Amino acid sequence: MIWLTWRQHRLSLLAGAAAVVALGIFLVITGLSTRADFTRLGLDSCGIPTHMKCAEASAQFLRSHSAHQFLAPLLLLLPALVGVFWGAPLVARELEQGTHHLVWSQSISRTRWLAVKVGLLGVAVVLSSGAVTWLVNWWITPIMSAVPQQFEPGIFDLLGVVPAAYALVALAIGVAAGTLTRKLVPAIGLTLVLFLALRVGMTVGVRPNVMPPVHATFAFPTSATKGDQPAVPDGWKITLETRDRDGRFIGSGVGMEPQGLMADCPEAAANRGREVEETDRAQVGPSTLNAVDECAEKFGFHVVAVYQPAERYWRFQLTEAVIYLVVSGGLLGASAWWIRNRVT
Amino acid sequence: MSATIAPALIAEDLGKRYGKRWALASCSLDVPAGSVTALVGPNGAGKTTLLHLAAGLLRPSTGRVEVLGGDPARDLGLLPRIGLVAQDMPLYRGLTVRETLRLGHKLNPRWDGAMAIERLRQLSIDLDQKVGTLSGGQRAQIALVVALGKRPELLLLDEPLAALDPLARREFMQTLMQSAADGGLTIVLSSHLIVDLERVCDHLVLVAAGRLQLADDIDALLASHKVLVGPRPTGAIAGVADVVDEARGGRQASMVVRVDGPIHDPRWMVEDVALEEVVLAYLSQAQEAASVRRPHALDVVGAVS
Repeated sequence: MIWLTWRQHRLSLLAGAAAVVALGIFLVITGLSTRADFTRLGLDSCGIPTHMKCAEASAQFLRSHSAHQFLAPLLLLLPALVGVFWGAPLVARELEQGTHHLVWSQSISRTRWLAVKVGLLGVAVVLSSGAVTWLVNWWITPIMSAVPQQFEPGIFDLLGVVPAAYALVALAIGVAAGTLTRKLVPAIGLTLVLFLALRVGMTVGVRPNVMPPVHATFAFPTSATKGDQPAVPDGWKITLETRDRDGRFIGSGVGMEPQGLMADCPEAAANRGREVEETDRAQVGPSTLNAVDECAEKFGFHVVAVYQPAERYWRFQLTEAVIYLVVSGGLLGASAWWIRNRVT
Repeated sequence: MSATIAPALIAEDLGKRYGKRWALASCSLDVPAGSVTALVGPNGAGKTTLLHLAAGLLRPSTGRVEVLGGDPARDLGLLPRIGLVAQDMPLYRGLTVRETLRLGHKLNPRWDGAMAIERLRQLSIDLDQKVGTLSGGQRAQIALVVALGKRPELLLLDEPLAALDPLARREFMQTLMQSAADGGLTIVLSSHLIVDLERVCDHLVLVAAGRLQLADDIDALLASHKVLVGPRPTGAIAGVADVVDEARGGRQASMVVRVDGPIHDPRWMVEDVALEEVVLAYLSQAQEAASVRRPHALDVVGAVS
């Protein structure tokens, strides 16, 4: 049965392997240049990336290496391709072409037939998504050390153990959809719809509720603190706002909106026509900085954050992976039952 | 012919329902071990359902089916002992003939590879050709050889001749009969035509509208049915158990009857019956009954051998 599964699926498996290799080559080439720039700008010796002396280098680095913003959505779709090209045809093509009658009339139970097929492709899914994740991790590490954002939605989904879990659930959805529809094209459509619904539903509905976020207040960074420490700890920042001591909204993120405070702190607002971001401090003249500092002190600026601390990262990763694995197991079990009892 | 050996297949009140529709209802029959049984009936009669129940692909809604002493849907040990050539003879078209045989070798513990290769050599089928490039007749032969290579004790064939031209039919039946002659094999093959099977089968199972109409030894059937030609009967005729079908032409009637004794009534001319006439008579009776008596469409007419 292993031989037959390999023989049946070798084309799509080899195509998948070729895609992984092609993606790998792209990541290695671009990743090497990213790393060269990272070293050239001296960011590897910076330590805390928001330290004043590193801020400019960091900003420059990020401006020339924002490719991950474009690559991330593509990587997020890879599991859907697994569902479409590996999962959906697994059962649907056999049922559509009637070949299940050939293989089921050999001396092998249907459960074993499904188990071997899913098992072999499941191993391929884990290996390939493991390889891609490892490469992406290597590729994105310099960018993550310039601005830690592993926990942020979009990047969280590309690293750690969750990518393999997404790919496995896509495979399972494909198998279940094929079992139910018995035809390849509807199975592909159903796979895409179910996979996207599950991914979006989980990301929006479940991930924020794994643990209640931390609500905390931090001091507004001033020239005096010299950016020695980040304004808020790393993690998944759900909301981040600057407010004054009366609770009035000053700006989103760490900074101030110029319009609202024009009257109160005209000097600060006038020198810069836009938001003053912490990381942009290096480009802002000392007079502006002083003006902002004065304004911050005068009105009692502070930063209010709702966030998931970085140390919860693996807990979130594992929770999500386990949920997807349970869903996969449920779908595959239901498919096996359906095949044993409802398909002829 | 099967008095002492246990039947290869026993159905008792066997039924399969899809939603509200009964594909097969209250079917009871035996298929004697070592027989070659023709499963005949119009399209949609329930032949495929019966074969799938026997092969364990389906579970019965009512009753039970016993194959080679076990329940084919539950007893995994039966899998190597039952061969099935499904309708339209599914094969992986992208595989070569050799790879198809390898599939048989990998998936069957009792695989007889030498026999399979020998059979295909006799048919001059190139082992390295892709299955999808072969003719329908050649594909049918490969499907049959794969089923035979398993060395089953019961071989079920679902409409194996439907898509074949006359020459391919003859060659297919030759391969099949060759294996039947080797012994130890019970064969059930379905067809909507009896003429294809008459020469090779010794047993007949007739289904129509999801009901069993007839299940008997063919020689016994031919002996127990006669054609009577004469006036339309007004009452019972001595020796006639049952009028199966009646064709009227003017004052003369031609009837297919089941007899339970000699007919000496001089008003009727008694003729021997051809198997096809018996089949058509029962199918016509089934059709009439189905259109008159619903929902309990038909009684089981055939005596179990």
